[in-house]
Amino acid sequence: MSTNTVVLTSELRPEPGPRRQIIPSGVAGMFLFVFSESMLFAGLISAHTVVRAQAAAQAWPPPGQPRLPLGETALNTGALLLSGVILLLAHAWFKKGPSRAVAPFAISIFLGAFFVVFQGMEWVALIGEGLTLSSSVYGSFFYVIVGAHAIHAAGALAGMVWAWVRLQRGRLSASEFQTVQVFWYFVVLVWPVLYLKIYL
Amino acid sequence: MARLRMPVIVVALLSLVPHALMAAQKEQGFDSKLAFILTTAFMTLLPLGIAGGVFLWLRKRVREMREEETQDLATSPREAE
Repeated sequence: MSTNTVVLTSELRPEPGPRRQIIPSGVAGMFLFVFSESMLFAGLISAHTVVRAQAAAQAWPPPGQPRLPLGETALNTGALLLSGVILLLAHAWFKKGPSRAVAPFAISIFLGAFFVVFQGMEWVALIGEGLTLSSSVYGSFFYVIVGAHAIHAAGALAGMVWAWVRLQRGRLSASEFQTVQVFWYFVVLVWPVLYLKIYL
Repeated sequence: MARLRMPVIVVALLSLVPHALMAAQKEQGFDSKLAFILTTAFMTLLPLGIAGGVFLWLRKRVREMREEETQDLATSPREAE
């Protein structure tokens, strides 16, 4: 009797479907990475804030140190933000058909690369003007914080180029696209905060 | 439990005056102390905010997935007919 009951209930019970992930593993891993990196930048920003507050208002930037190029970097910031917006559009087009995302994705990579190269040129100019890692606390913070961001930008760009190549070959999955997106959005969104803290 | 309440409050309030740190030494001005307190709050609230946001998003996502599964189960017998 009891055996029959068990058989009946197991027959009535619907077949369990394939287990669905709440969030793709790659995206979850990238979120964890971004979380830890957010804390890194939060620590750097906090240190900068405290040291800047300790310095007298007239002594920041320290005398004899070159001023950071506000206007040029604002333009560069615009390029980076535009890159993020275009990547957002690329993702929307990717959902409609992966091949439609190739061009906007390439533009997003180009703008990101423009940002990194422009920052590099700015560094060369500033070193020429006497702002180095050891010239002052001002220089140290500038190179450490902006340099940390540049390393992240270069890493995210490498990931985007990899994803773009796969997209062109028709092999890029939605979760891979999202993983790269999360990294790039982190790079894009953390920059305005750094710009406001370091440059202004 | 009630006996512990006052010491806990006192310890919590003492943490607002962190003498052990260079940034909060008495020689430092008001701006420096304010910067230290603000950055401490920032460094405390940022991870809590992120973790809280992720938790809320995951809870919403799980609910959505459950609703989708319920709808799938409700519609599948009709499709079979």
